[in-house]
Amino acid sequence: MGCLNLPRRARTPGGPGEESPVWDLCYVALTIVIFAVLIGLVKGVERFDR
Amino acid sequence: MNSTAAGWLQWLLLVAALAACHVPLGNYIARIFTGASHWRVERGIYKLAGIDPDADMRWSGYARSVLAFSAVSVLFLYLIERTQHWLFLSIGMSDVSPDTAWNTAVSFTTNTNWQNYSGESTMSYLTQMGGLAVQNFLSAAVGLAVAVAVIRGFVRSRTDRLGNFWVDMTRAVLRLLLPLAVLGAIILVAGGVVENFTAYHTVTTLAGGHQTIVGGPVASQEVIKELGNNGGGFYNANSAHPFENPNPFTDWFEIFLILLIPFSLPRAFGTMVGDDKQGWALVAVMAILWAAAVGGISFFEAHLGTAGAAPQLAHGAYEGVEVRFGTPGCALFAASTTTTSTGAVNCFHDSLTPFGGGIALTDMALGEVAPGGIGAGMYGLLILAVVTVFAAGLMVGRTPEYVRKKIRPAEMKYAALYFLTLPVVILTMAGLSIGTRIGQSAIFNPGPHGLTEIVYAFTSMANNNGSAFAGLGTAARWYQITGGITMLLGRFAPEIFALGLAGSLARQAPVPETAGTLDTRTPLFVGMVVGVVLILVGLTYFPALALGPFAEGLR
Repeated sequence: MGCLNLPRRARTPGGPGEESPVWDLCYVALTIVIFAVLIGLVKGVERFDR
Repeated sequence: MNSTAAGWLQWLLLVAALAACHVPLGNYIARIFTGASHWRVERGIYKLAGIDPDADMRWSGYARSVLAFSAVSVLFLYLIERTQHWLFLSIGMSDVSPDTAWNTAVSFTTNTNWQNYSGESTMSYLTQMGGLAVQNFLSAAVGLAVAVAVIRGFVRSRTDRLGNFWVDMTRAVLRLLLPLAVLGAIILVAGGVVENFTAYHTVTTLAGGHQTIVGGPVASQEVIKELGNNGGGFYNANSAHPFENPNPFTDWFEIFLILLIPFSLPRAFGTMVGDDKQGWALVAVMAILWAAAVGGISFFEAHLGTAGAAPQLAHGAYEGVEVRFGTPGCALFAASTTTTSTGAVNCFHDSLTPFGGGIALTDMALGEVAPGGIGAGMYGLLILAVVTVFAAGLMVGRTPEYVRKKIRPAEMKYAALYFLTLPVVILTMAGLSIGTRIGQSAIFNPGPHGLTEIVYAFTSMANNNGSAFAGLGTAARWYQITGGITMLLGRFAPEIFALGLAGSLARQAPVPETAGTLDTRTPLFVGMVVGVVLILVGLTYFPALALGPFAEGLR
């Protein structure tokens, strides 16, 4: 939840990223967590399947 | 010719063209996925990627491959968007913000193509071509591969192997999507869709104002946007933009592309299971539901007794409608894009009459099975057919069997999990957005219309449709994150259950048909499946539909 309180940087039109790079880490982590949950679901269903 | 006659002609030509392509394309798709030999270029790809193309996978291995490939796709697309300023063909665009980049990466990887941005002012040419358009091919191929694996569950017996995901995906791209996309892009360019790499031009208008004329490699992205049931427009106005969709011919052709593969897949199913009549029954279900959606939206956009004074004076519900296509063109496109998982638009869905918009919402709530998204519609409908034979077995004492496979409690559990996932995700996310201050802050329209906008947004994202009702500030961080989660769960959780069901079916021995077997090739079965689809949706979504579009329409 710390990600939701990150400060934004000033806008720099035409330049590189306008927001804190920590957000990138948050989104990469979120992606990994969701796919880990889905792979866990496969494992859970596999157990049920047996 | 008046617009009503033009609408009928357009619809009839569409039905004729789809009917003409149904058998040859369906047979070709079946051959693609049943052929034993690999093309030389395919062998090269497998060698490069270290894939053994002859190693079949269990359902769980197949599902893990789908997930691993999609996870990498999300992260790679995110990286392109976040670094586009430093890459070539950036045309002066800054990097996409993290919120939008993640939502868009998830959106295109899940075949949703929900867009919280304007393509012409956010994405570089490289991002459009090397990121978004590539995912348009790959996400469609993933859906098709899963559908083929589910079909193999009916075809195969006494095995736990459903095929090789990497082979199925590669073949879907190289043998089906790419050839059709090349052909379709040439037709779109001939029809007037732009295809160039020119920088944007600012011109002075006759009135002395300034206007930016945008360009871009549009036709090549437009074709896979429709063919792969993706829906993400090169421009913000999507298929209402004259450079994406310049005239009634391109409009008709784009609708044809949207429906082409989904309506051909039942034939491929019938061919693969060795019983064409099974395919005819499923395509009949799809056609009935699609025709009802087209007829319903057309009726409410033209029948103005419930639409208020302005449409009556204008002789049509013309707000948000491109005059080039008229209300019949809008209705046909809206019904086709929401009954598939496409989400492209040629008119503003938020401006549809309340009941017309309610039908568009219901189309998506059906679970995208009529004819549904590429691949996703096919496996969704197969699971509905499984539910139907089970329900029929309970009602009339017939043995629950479908295509020579028994439908036992294990299969029903998979089917139930498949259908419970989407309503749980949609209604939970919509409820959280309505019930929290952070979610409410982005609602611009109070009352029933605002409720419809929220339910529409999450229904669209969970079903990987991608069309929007607008009027909701979905660029807010809350909707970017919840939307991304909704798209991922809505895409992959049902696919896991569908593959689990296929694995369970593949392990069975085929059962011979007896006098007690329900014939699933008859009009009676077609009617029963249609009934099950409508009842499932009715029971699940009726409260939301009643408080949203119905309340607005009857007010």
